[in-house]
Amino acid sequence: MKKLDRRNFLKLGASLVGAGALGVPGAASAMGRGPERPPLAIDRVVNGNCQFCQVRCRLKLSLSGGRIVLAEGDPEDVWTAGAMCPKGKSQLELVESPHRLLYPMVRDGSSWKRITYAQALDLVVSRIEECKAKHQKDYSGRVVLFSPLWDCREGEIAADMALSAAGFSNILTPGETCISSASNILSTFLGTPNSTTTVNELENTGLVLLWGANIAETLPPYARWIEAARAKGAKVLYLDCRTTHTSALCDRQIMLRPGTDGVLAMGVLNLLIQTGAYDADYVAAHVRGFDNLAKAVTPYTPEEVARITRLPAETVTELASAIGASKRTILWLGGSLSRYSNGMQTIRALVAMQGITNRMFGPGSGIITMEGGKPGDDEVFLEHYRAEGLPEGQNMRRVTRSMAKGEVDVLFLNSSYRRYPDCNAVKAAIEKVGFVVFRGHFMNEEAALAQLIIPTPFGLESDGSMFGAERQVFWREATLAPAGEVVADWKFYRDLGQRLAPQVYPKFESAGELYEMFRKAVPSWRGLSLARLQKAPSGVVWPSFAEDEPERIGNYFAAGKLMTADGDLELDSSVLGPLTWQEPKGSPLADKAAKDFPLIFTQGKVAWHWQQSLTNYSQLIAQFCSGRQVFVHPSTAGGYGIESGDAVKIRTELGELSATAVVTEGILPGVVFTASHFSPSAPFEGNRGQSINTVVPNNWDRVSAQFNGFGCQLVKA
Amino acid sequence: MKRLASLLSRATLCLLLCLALGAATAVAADQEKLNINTATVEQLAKVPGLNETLAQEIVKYREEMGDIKAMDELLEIKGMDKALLEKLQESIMIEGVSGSDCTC
Amino acid sequence: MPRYVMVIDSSRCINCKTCVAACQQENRVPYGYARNWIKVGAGATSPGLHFQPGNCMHCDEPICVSACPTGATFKDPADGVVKVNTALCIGCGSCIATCPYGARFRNPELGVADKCDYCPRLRALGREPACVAVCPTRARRFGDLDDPASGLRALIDKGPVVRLTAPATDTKPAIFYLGRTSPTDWPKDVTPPLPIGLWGAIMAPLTRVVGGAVLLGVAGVALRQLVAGRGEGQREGHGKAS
Repeated sequence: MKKLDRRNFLKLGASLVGAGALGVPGAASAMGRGPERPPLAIDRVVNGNCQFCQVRCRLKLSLSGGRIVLAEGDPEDVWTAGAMCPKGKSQLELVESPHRLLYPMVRDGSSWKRITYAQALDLVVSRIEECKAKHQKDYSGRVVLFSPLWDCREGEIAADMALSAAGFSNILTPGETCISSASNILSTFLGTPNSTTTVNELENTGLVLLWGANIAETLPPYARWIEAARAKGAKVLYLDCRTTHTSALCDRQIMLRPGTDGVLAMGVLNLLIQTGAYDADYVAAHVRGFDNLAKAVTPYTPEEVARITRLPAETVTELASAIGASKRTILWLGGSLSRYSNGMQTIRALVAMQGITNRMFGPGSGIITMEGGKPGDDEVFLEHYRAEGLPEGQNMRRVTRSMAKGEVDVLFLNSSYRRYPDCNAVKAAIEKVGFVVFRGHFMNEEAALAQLIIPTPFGLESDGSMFGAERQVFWREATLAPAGEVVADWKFYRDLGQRLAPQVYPKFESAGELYEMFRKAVPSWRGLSLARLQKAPSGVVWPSFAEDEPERIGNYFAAGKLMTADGDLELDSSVLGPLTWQEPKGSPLADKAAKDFPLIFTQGKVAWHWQQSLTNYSQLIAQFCSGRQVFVHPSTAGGYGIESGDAVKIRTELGELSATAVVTEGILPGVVFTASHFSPSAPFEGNRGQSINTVVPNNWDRVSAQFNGFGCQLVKA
Repeated sequence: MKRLASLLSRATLCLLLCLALGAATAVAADQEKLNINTATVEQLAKVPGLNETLAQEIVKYREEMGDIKAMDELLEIKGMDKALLEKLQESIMIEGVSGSDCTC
Repeated sequence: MPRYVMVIDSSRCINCKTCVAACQQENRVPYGYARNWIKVGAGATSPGLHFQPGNCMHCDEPICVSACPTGATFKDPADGVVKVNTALCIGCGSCIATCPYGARFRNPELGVADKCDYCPRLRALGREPACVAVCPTRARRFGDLDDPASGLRALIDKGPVVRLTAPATDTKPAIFYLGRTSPTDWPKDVTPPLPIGLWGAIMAPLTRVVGGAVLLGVAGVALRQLVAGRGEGQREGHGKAS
């Protein structure tokens, strides 16, 4: 309020008089707060893409005075029609975060010393060359890269070339512990590790099976396709042990015991086979191993399925009925299925289900998988740069063991070590590595382990090609200049590669140049020229062999055949053995299970969180989060004397997590759920918490890690 | 001449038969080989040269480290040596999952 | 004259909170405050689970307008939007307290009442409010109730629709929820600071009394200046911290 000096008093008086005379109740108007705030002054609007989930929402970014002040969806985008989620909104904040790392820094005792990029590069090169000189014959495993979720494809390509040309084969992908169980099974049985149709086909389907697929929280903008399916009369069935946002979108939710999806799938198969509700002609002509399948699923009667899954037997028969009767079915595989050690067999059974009912081909049918959009054939380009005789890369478990034994000299920590079960053991192994280079955005738990930090840009700050869930490839132009002295992955790994393997490593001055080099060398990419991408805001779906070829949207098996060698479905597998089901490792219901941990532990991604905990640095996101909560059924909570709001600990064989209890009927008795992506270094309370994988035991299936399904206990704190 | 011809043809037939049998035996043997990556402890324990303890160790290694890619990996198990590995070639084959096939 | 309303199909809402984030970004709402919201219905499991988006109802009989002492808040007849003229708002908080929907808050940066105003910048560009445009399932619909092309009248007439009203007073909210929605019992009782008529009855004579006193004061000062001359005025002007 303005100070009431003589001048103001006169003004006030005058207006009061005036107001009084008019009889208008605006008597105190002179005490107002001043003129209206001016509207947002936007200089220009440019296109962009969100760097978070695989939907890769097309964005319209509004710039004002060199800053991005607004990120909106693009109504013209065919996949999202203008939708976004809060994570995409938070990018503006992350880019300007005061917590950002901006300059290369080298460890200096317990603190950091800023150095130049050139000095940083020299350091890395010298450590690698030292390693090669010392271990002349067997250095291939001694330099390791933990790949991030690359912000553009050029980063991944440049890094792969750099390491493999220099003779190092341990490039670990984040997908190894993500959904590689699913990818492996899909590539084994269908000939492609990806989704077999594009999401718009939901408009043409009759039945959507969201099998462990919490789409409303993992891919929020894609909820529009589920809504579109319902609008066209499709039924949406959602299978999940707990209530999620997706529960509000479905026609019916089936809440089965977590980790028993394989049993339910085999029970459905059993009923389909016994009632003849499968395509016998298709099976006779194009499916092998049907008899073994029938034999393998025979024990799984509705009663047996009910016993294991804790579902009523009628639910099993109703589900089988719906699947058997449906003319067009899309099976959406949730990421959660790959999080159990029995996940590969579960997904195998589900693939068999789509197979024998002949729901792989045509509009409105097929399988959609999480992270199912990566185009293929990178190998066609990359193999030219591999060092002679380069051995196969090791999996994460073997690499961890090597690190623990002191057999790794240089680690590029581009990704979080806390994504692995028993992550404290991984941390201890990393602490034995000679030289750790952190590539990331914030001073987090990973940076704390490094000897050298070379910070990275956000997607908004660098050019590059990227892909989305529909295998669409698009070109992203940088919206902002890179902050500080951050260095894009493609540039850093190019510089490294050119120093380590100058005879082999290609020369390119921009991400675009590398992209075109790649595109011209790989036949299935030939049609995706940079010029074409720049004119296609929603991207162009891969593969494309020629620029004038029509875009391949819809069911991937356009010719009505699978991508296997002969186009047929082989259900038997000597690699996998017979189709079976086992309790998840460490399950409290397994034989000889320890009695100390009687509850089933589940974790997962909730709507506002992101892998690598990037969103933990956003206050916008923190608004929607309330610290670590654990969801538990009233009957279970009652047994522990726990009420909503109580401070509790989730205890596993490895340790404890503090959480606040939420008692709800929206989860099965005997099961607990807590969200995955809290971190101790989060600047905002809403997202601060102990890293979850500190308490997750180190269990794996043949391919991927297990994060759910083992035993735990609840203790009142 | 005729006698030689018939002798030859009988010999050829015999040879062919032996070859066929041999091949069949070889094929049958291959089909009977255990996939070290899917075999259970019980199955491995029955393999000539192995016992319950070794079988458990093999499965433990496999569970901890992922699919076995080469028999040499088993050398780190106490009680395994090159000679035993040689012997196991007769009854064990390696078929592993192809890798992570990540699509992130 | 357009009459802007919202029609919401809350059965499509997935509680992603993007509408809240979008509104914050477009309207520069400080973190921790919001012009809109998602309410969670009572059911803990499907099919009872329900999310209900909402914001200022832009009521046809807005109690907040009656509660405002300065006329800062008003329903604009040009478009049906209830607005706040920040130049007139004194930040007394009466409108905030009286709204049955809790749709208003004191903006900590500006010190005035803040609420949904249907994104005037976007409407001026011919676009939808931020919350409407960004929703993945198009749960929120916005448009001119009086324009058949908007389709909103037809949707409402087809029904059923639910309007959320305060227990004892219908402020004629202009947000229409399609089909069922939950929760429905959350708007609170309307409690204006004073009976509406009484406010006017007190203010008018009070204005005259104060106004009269001021006139006398003004006259007194003017007289003094005439008598004392310019010098005094000049001397008074020096060395004073303003």
